[in-house]
Amino acid sequence: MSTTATTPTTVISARGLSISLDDGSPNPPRMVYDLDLSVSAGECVGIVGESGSGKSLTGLAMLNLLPDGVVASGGELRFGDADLRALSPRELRRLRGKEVSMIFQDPSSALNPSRTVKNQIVDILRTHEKLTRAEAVARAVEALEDVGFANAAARMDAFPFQLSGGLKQRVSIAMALACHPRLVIADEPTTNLDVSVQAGILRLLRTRIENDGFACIFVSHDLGVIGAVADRVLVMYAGQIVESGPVHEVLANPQHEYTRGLISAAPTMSSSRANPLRAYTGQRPALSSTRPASEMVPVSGSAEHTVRRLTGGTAQ
Amino acid sequence: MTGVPLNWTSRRRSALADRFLLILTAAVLALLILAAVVGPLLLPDPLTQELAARMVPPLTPGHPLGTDALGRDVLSRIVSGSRTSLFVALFGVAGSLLVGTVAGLLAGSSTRWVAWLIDRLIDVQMALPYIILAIIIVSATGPSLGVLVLLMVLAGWPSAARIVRSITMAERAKDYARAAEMIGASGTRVLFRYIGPTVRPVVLTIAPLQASAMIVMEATLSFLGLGVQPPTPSWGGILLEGKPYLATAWWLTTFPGIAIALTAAAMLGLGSSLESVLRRRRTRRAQDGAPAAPDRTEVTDAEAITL
Amino acid sequence: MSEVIAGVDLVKSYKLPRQRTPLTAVNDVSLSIDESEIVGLVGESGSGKSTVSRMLVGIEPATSGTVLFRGKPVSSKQEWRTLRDSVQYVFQDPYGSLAPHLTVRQTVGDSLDLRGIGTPQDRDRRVAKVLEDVGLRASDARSYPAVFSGGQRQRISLARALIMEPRLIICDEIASGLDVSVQAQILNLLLGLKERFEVSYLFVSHDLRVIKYLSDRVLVMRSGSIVESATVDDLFAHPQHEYTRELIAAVPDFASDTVQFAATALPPVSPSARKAGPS
Repeated sequence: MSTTATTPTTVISARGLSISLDDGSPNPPRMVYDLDLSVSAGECVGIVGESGSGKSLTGLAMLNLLPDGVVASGGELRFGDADLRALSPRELRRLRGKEVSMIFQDPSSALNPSRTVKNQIVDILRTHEKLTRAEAVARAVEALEDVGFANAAARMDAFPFQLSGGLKQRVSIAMALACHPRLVIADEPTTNLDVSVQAGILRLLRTRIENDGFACIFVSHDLGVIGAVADRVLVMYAGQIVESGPVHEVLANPQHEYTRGLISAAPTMSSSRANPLRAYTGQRPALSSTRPASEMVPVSGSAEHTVRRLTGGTAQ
Repeated sequence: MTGVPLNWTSRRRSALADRFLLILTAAVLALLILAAVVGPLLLPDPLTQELAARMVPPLTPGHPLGTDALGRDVLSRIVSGSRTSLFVALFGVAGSLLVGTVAGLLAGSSTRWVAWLIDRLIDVQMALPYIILAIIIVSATGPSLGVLVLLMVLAGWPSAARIVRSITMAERAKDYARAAEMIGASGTRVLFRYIGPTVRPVVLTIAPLQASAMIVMEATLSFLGLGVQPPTPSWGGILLEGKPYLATAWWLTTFPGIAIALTAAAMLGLGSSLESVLRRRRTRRAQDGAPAAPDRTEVTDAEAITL
Repeated sequence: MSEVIAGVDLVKSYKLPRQRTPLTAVNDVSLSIDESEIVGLVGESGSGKSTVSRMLVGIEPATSGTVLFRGKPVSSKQEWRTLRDSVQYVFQDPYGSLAPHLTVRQTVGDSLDLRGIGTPQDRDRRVAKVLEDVGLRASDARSYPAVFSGGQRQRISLARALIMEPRLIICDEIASGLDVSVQAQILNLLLGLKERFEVSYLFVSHDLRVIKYLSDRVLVMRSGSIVESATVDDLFAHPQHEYTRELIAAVPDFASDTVQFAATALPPVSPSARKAGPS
């Protein structure tokens, strides 16, 4: 019996999660409402939205890395079988870097400027796995080669400041993937990079996802980037997911007004004076306002494409 | 300044400590100012010599801090002397910051020779030993309150100018200053209308520091005989008169010394805690999110473009 | 079409401490912009595009080369001032280009104030009008920059440039870093202003998609030199230079059927032997 097709396992899932400001009040203002999200092994889910949509917070919440004073509440958040929020700080620390890792927009925040590239990767490896220094160095070389570094063994002794932005980002990807995590969260990793460098990084990520089989959450504001790297996309607006589905379907057949607005405002190689950008106008709902009741309904003709519609019920 | 503690409770605790210090130092200074203003009216005349009650130790009825060699009440003298010190410190700081700000802005000027001139002036003045400078000036003009204030201004303006200069040079490269140049603003206009106001908050934070230093400097100068002349009481002068009796009548020097130290410390503490409290308030306001109005504009030309 | 501004053989080099060879940011660049045209200047980081744009208005002094305003070389302070009466500049960072302690009225109207043009009421009226031209409200004149969003601040900067009735506005990455929808508004605003006031633009950007949308003509810069110059249609339909083709291929474009990636300088990823992925 052929077992070539394996059922994809869910690596992380969030259901009904809210992210709010912890100001001590019983009804704190919420920045993300009622989030449903799940990612399987080997798939890349893109979260796209503009500033204030809550996309970055959503990414951080998956690692339980929310900033001071911001909490994820309600619903459930599971990593594999474990309830992510029930873990002790020690268990969380063990998880981060080994099973779940993060790639930031600015690689300088992940890289220690006073240590060589080699030592930083070795540190991560030896923190999470029992390796001798020699073994760790060998693994570090491997990790760097796997992100496209030519002559990794020689170049490992460089300090971050000696590297260009693109190379620094490759190093932080190497660090994120060194322990073969099950989930990688990338928060605008290519936004600060030149477009040609960006193309290489996106290709690298896709290749690694396909080869290593980890789950990936990719946050970006750029629809083109999401289109290039993600399998599925979640469109976020004002703290809620307004549309979700396979990326090319959503981009070709957007259902929600916001998604349509975003697509028509985004410049592409086909935009021109004859096909102008249309900026939608709208007021973003303020923090903490209650929302009218809504739910994600399936789009006809598609298995996985859903869109948020008002149900006309009472406020959330 | 130590780093901001990361955990919530210790951050709260240091915020409370700062606020407590602020209130404490503000209260002490308020008391001092009150005493300086009202005190001489309530206390016995500091100049009155009571030869029958000379060298009376403190805690004697009628003379809580004792009397000096001429029978003058020490408390009255100290309170009276505080007027001089506070006056000199106040006007000294005001003058020093004013001159320092203008000089600092000009030192950051893009006109080479102006910047060069100010830099040299600062260098020259900092190279001269201050006391020598003071002696030269006082011997030329004679000691007086005005000269004392002038000396304070001279002492304080270089450090203010240096701070303002470095800020000016940093700000000059910023976009808003460049934009001002682009629309035709002259160098002077950019310095004084655009950059100047951004300098104000920093300059104000060094005011208490300079005031604190000037309290001590005034006392030093008066101690050396370069300040206000006796019999007008001044803290330095009182110290000078008490010097011969250090071993026998300790209260003649200890109490003015405490007054000087307390005042200087209170000003320092006020400056430091004020800065911390204001910084906290500023960052908290930034964290709550800039009160940016959403882009509510309907750009009608979006639809109107046809080509 | 009369030429407004031109740069001839512009060079900008920096002498680095302890280095014998100077760093050349701009290497013999010549370009010109005519009335009523939008010229897009595109390049990646380090290409020198921003430096060139700054040299054209004198914010960055050229190491060598000349700037011509209406055909006449610009060198004295007075000549730069005359140039700046007709050529204005809008900066990239919306949060750094407005003095925080001045009201919108003061910032936008200062060019009139310092020249003493008209009565104060005249100037107030002109400020109000130009604010409306850029899509803000006349009442916004009273406010301070702190209450405005990034997109609105760029509009204020545009108003500041526009009130002088320039022939050319140089926009240095003015929409980068703004939300997509706000960026679209700003781009369309630029087009609208060109229609109404016949102003031309030199639009500097790293984003080819935006350059394609706005420009009539495109200049591609790389490592301090212009590698290609063509009309926008020609450039995208028939890119001549290798680098231009690479750049176009690297743009992530969801509207096209196939998504391509440019070749990178590093060897392709070769996964080494490792244990099978998580099940």
